[in-house]
Amino acid sequence: MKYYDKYNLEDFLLDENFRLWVVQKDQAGDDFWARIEGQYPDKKIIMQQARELLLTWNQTHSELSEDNLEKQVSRILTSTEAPVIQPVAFNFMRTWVSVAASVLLILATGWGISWKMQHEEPASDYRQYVSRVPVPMKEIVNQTGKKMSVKLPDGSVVALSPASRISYAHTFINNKKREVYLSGEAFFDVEKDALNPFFVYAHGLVTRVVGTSFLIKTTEANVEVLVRSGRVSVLAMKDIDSQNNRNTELLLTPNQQAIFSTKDNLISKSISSMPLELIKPETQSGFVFQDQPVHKVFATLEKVYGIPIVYDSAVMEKCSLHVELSNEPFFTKLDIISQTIGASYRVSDGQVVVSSEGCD
Amino acid sequence: MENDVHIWQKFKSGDRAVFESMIRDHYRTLFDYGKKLITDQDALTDCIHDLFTTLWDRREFLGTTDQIKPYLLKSLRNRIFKEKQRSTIFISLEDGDELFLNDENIESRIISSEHTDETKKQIGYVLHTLTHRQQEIIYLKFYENLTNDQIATVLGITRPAVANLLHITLKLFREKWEALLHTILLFILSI
Repeated sequence: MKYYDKYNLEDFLLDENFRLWVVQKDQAGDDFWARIEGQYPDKKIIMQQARELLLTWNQTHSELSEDNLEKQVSRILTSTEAPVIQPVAFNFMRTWVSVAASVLLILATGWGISWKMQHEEPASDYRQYVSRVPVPMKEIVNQTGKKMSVKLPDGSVVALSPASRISYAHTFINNKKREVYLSGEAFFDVEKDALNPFFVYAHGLVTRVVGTSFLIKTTEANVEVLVRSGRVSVLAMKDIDSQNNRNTELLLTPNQQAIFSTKDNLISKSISSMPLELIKPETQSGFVFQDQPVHKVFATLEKVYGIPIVYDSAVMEKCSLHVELSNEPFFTKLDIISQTIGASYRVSDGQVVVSSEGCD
Repeated sequence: MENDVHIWQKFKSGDRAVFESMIRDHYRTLFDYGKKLITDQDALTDCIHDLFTTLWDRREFLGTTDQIKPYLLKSLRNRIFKEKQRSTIFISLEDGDELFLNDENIESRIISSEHTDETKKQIGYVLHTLTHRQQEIIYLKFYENLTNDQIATVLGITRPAVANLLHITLKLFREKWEALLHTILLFILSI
């Protein structure tokens, strides 16, 4: 016999029998709990409270609509479908989401392919990989002297720089992917479509997005990806098939930039040289700070530019600022702030790191 | 759970129908739980997508389990944690370094459900004043109806630690609720 007279609210909540009785409306428990209630009248209110709590917590109102559920389920099922036998290079491209495909492929075709993948030049060159895509492609070349606006079948817009070219399949969405091949420089404004992610292949670097805007610039030596809005992930093309190397995938957020070196296949993260304001400052006063602690100033900058600022808040606790900033570029603002409080900063891994000896 | 062992075996042997029903059975649970860990819905559905595709890809190498739901919840939790670590900026914009989000929805959901009951408002209010971890354990125990063993799996702590945390949390909840009721009572009396 349990000591119900000693029972508190939490004891009722954690009593497995009590919980099942309330939640599963187990009629067999009715008599038992009515008896307990009669036996310990002073527990009546607590039991009532416990029941209310359990019932409230047990009502789950899912935020997921039926439609969306169906969409997500079919998305998973599609990405896990066994691959149809296709030309090697094409499979090499399409196995981002489904690593299964690559595993099965390697198993199926044996050493031949893995040997090839190790010893052949990776399909990093624009012409090389465009020529390997088995579906009919459309190529657009900008031979004019100024930027050219290209509207893709999905509604995304590409601003193609002079002497640059892109290719994409006539039937734009294939295997739930939107894929574009780039040589040169282009700014992408991608229509949001979570079910069909957008991929740009450029000089050995894969850029994956759902819906966002970003710039890609390819040169002989490297590929630069600069994010304007949304989230972008980049991965060296050679790492697509290898699950272990998936952690070389880098996630970029607005005003961050990835630089991919084609020579050593390394991606580094940095900040745009001219970050744009992503949102307006929340306060009316904007960037006007009157005797504000430095953490407030940094928080405002972080929010507006979306760039993380790292500093030792304990050391800089006493630092405060009296400064009026307005339209200066991000780095000019940082210069002004750090000079005012006698600090210095550097950019590292897509963040600003501020060092200071503190203020008195 | 005998049944789970069976389902898991069939899934491991490559049964697509079983895989599909496994997704359907657990998707909503994973989504609702994930919503409390990450606000970006696209990132969340990506995480769940990757969770299931990875499971499928690696099914032959997976061990056995008799606890599919906690296993999935735990995997999702780890994934979201990793995802958040990678996109540090999203953490800074998403308020706080603790994993469990301070979810205003719990409150609004309670308020909007059925009758806008005063008690429900109070419950939502008190819940809000708990830490993220305390809210998370209440969620797992009472929303998801997991056993202490299963919660231990999800959170990666021992079973006694779960019992302990639950007890402390609920005691705190009671005290806060009593304090609130007391305040309300005083307020009514003073009118």
